[in-house]
Amino acid sequence: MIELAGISFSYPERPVLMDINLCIGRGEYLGITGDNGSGKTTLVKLLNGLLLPQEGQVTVDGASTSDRESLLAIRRSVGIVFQNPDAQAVGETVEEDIVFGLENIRVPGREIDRRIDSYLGMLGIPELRDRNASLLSGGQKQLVNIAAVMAMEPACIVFDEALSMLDASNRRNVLMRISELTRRGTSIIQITHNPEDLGSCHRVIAISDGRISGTVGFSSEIAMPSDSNVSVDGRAATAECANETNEGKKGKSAVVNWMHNTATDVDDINRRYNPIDFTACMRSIRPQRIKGKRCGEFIDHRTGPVSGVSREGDGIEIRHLTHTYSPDTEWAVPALKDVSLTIGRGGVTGIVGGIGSGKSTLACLIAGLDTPTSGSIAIDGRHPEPGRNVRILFQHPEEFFFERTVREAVAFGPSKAGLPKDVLDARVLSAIDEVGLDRSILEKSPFKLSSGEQRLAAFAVSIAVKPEYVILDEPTAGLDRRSRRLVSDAVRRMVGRDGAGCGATVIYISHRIGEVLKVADRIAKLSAGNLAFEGTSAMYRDRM
Amino acid sequence: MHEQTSVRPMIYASMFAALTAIGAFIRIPIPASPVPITLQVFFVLLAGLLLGSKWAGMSMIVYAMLGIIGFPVFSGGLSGIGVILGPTGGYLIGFVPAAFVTGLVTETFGRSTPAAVGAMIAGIAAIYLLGAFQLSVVAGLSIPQSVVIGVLPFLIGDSIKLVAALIVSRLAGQVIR
Amino acid sequence: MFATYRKGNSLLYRIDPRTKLLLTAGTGILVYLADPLGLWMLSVATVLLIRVADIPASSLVKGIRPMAVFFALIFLAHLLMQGGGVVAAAIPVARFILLILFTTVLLHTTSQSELKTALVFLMKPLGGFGRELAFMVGVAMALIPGLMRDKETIARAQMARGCKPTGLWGFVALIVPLLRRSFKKADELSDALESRCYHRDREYYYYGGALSGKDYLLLGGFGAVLVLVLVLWVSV
Ligand SMILES: Nc1ncnc2c1ncn2[C@@H]1O[C@H](COP(=O)(O)OP(=O)(O)OP(=O)(O)O)[C@@H](O)[C@H]1O
Ligand SMILES: Nc1ncnc2c1ncn2[C@@H]1O[C@H](COP(=O)(O)OP(=O)(O)OP(=O)(O)O)[C@@H](O)[C@H]1O
Ligand SMILES: [Mg+2]
Ligand SMILES: [Mg+2]
Repeated sequence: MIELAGISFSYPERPVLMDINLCIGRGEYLGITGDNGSGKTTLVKLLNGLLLPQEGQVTVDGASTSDRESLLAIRRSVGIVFQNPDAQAVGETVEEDIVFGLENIRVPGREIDRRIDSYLGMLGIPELRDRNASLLSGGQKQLVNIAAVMAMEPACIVFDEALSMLDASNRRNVLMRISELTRRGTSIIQITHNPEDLGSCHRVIAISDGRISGTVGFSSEIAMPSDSNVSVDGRAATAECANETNEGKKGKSAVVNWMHNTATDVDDINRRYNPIDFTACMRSIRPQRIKGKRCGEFIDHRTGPVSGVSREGDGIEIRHLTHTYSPDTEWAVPALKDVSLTIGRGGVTGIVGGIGSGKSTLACLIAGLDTPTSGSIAIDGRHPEPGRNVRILFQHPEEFFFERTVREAVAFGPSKAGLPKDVLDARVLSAIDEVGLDRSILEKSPFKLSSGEQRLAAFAVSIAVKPEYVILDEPTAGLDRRSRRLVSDAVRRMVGRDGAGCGATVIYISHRIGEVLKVADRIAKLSAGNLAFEGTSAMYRDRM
Repeated sequence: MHEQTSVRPMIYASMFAALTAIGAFIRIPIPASPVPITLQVFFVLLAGLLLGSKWAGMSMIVYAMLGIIGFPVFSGGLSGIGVILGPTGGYLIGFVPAAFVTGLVTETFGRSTPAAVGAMIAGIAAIYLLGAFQLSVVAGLSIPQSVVIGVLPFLIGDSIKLVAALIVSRLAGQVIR
Repeated sequence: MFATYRKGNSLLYRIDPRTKLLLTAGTGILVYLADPLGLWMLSVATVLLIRVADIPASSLVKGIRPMAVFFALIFLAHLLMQGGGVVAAAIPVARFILLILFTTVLLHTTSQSELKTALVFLMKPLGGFGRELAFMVGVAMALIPGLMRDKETIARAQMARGCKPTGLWGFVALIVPLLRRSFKKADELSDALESRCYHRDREYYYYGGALSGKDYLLLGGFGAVLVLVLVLWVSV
């Protein structure tokens, strides 16, 4: 139903897509992967005429997107859930948000009622109906955006990394709903960095450097030569050397490799995190840490073998923390209920929990960005002072940027410390290297980066100041596999595992349990605002 | 065809209405000044400079409506139709022509600094004009009396905002567009 | 957010918001037309309304306090420059206070969403322009809480980074990131809106049905009073 013929697109500064040929059939479930900045979002915007290609033509059901007359019909049949959950809510409340789209396509009033009920119910969020749409948690916003687009019942739905902030159970649920839709003839385009999301795709394509670099077909409906069978995830996957890829063979292996690598990743986690390994790992770190120049002062406080709290009041002490948004009004939302938790110095503490369980709220409170309704937080015996003793990297990192270039942004923090110019420059470069970004990015505007690049740049901003306590709220949501690994490497470096860092204490918030287990020594789990578990990662693995 | 298919200018105008509304809550302490300045007028001028006459004017109409439906958008945290009808209502109504005029002057004379300054002075004049007029009508004061009560005390603060708007619009021109 | 609205169940809550909005606007005109006797009558009505709506005194004071200095100035201007004594000088101030109290009653018993819906309905006769305006009001309302939060986050982040929040540069450090974020948000929002089929001729029909007979009765009665007063005022 959608056909892209010879598409090329460039932004004024740079070309993004080159000679893309792609055809999406009715009822097809297409997966798209590709590194950050490879042009996936740009491709999506071409599909419904938000952007027009400089070369080539996009047609939806035979109508070209460059034909303004048919634009509305095209948008009616191609629904898009965008990547940034923050900037899609049109209405004040969730209900109004869904009504907006339905009014646009003239769904009768009674039917609107039915659809709101059924789609909110389907996604398991009926209780959000009357909540303010812009004051939800990241995952809740994503579910609302998905509901709003699904409720319009378009013939094709594009999910541009729309599941990146969902926890495992919600993700599973959404994927199930998506499969149901494809069975009823809806075409789906699923853009993701997460191979588990692609389990029931008919076909997966990979984009790199603005071209389709590989295609894998999984479906028997798509004709496939039998000699190129490879097994991925126990399913027969067929690399399809379609004529739309000029590098078919290479492309095939690109996608398959990508999926295989991720599979071994999971084994990796399992192997690394048995209890014995864990202690051994910690022991091996200590001597290195003492070698590090800036760590001397730091290590003095540490006597315990595992991220121990040595001094009274050292580390983060959270006592009976309760937080309610808009208390004493009818919109009061209890986000945290009597949470007590001690986070010792050093190491990585993972905070996990379902969507809306209060993780980000806890992060903001620890970072001193908000005052709790009741209870107390002490960091090394003092109040949290943002920037002084604790730093936070937000769920939406673009909140950090206001400088003209990435270089200015990264240099801003350290420059306040009055470092000499050469030290400062070296800091900036090392921060950029540490997160694995290309140095050429330094002169770019942070607002012109793709979201993954932004995330990494924001990460560089916060490690450039070599902070003692760092809170990372969903640092890897929306990142490709390579960047995710870079982030976890950077985290390990920060806590001193790889020797170069300075032993910061990291609080790592994520809904991806596997990923948290990979970097965290200790785990705290929140569930509906309550502390549901606290202990070492090994204990967590045993328990759950 | 119809260039109106794009909602972008509308959204920008709405955003400026929202910004003007929260402008009442942004207090910038000015050294050597007892009262912090708030930013409504600043956003009015900036809307004019950045959005152009039509959409700047629209954004201020939206702003006034936000006030009517109960957002505490007016300075001092006031809201409601009573404020528009009250003695200070003219200043709020004046936002509409102010943003429009500022936009118009910028459109006609370009974005050079003198033109921008002229545009903003014209905008502020529009606010004072309507403000003093409504004050004198509804409070039964003479025009000079209204000027003493309703214009003079604000002149200094507003000139600061003018300078601020100028600087920011320059910066914004570099980083936003 | 920021609303004076409190949930309740008295008579005033059950009147259609459109009617309430029109009545308040009408009262706003009445307040200016009324002679001292009329002002007394309006005052009694206001007190009754406040009792019925059960509005705490603090809310009432909150509405008047920011204007207090201004009212004092007006009072003095009348007293010192126009003569006529204390009573004559107090009358315009009394009008303004009544105006604010009426508004407070409205905002206390009507939520912003209800008022927005009312506004959308009342702007229908304006055609396309009215629809566009109503839509923009809705978008602005949806943007405000997020912008407010952005503003707070940025202010704290800047302070954390060593920027003092005072003076021109403190101001620039707050405003430039706020604007950039806002513009980016506006860009993304318009993409999302267009993708959800926004078009100029969209209609609002989900919220707000027709006015009921009771509302017409109320409006009619009030309109008659207003017209009567107007006629009297013109003839005097
Ligand atoms: N509005 C814009 N102006 C100029 N360049 C842009 C703009 N938007 C994106 N780009 C650039 O185009 C490239 C592709 O961006 P795009 O957002 O399509 O990537 P993506 O594949 O969606 O990445 P991600 O996985 O991070 O979302 C990026 O390198 C980005 O820097
Ligand atoms: N500013 C706010 N005003 C009102 N309620 C809020 C606000 N921020 C969050 N909430 C609510 O508080 C609860 C906890 O939200 P929080 O953002 O802490 O969740 P989370 O665990 O980080 O979820 P996610 O994984 O989706 O990011 C949610 O129900 C959310 O809707
Ligand atoms: Mg993208
Ligand atoms: Mg969160």
